[in-house]
Amino acid sequence: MKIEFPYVKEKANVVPFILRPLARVVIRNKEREIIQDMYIDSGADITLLPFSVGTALGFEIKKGEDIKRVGGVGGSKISVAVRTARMRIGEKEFDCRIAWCLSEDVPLILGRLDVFREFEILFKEKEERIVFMAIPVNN
Amino acid sequence: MQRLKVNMDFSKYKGKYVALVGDKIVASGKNAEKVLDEARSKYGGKEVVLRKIPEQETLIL
Repeated sequence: MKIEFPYVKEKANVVPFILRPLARVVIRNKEREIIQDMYIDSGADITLLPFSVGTALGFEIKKGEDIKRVGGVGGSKISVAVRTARMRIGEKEFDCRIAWCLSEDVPLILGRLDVFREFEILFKEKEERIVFMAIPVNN
Repeated sequence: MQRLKVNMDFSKYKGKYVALVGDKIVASGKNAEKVLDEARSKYGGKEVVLRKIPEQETLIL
């Protein structure tokens, strides 16, 4: 299975425009499903979703749950709870652990954990496209 | 599934979620759950896609 996604050109402050790789991803938790366009971030350890995307998927904070504080390269920290949901990219479906952020202040990030082991991913920035090639199960 | 659209103008929606049905922005707001509910109530049965539009000063690191 092979699927391609485009880079999108977005306005930025440091330079006038930035090309960002976006993937169309389906995330399902029980009966709830969201199709979303997520930034592919090979530097992100784990997929990250803002709070209201998690509640739309039916995620709930359990009483007494151990909330983790995690930081990015800038040093600022956010609170997250880790959840597992089904993810589908193209025809490939798999379980994926997600850091559910307890605030809205994060983008929709497709990180490496549980995702990058399922695909060989080519970032063809010059051609403004990203290619996902599913790795066969018995590899 | 519909193809991801690249040439849309989201400049009015910085910092917000948008719900897309095909090429059309059908709902927007600061809360993804409400945006999806609104889009699905208007366009039930059609494929709704969620996107979050970054602020201009956002750098994805």
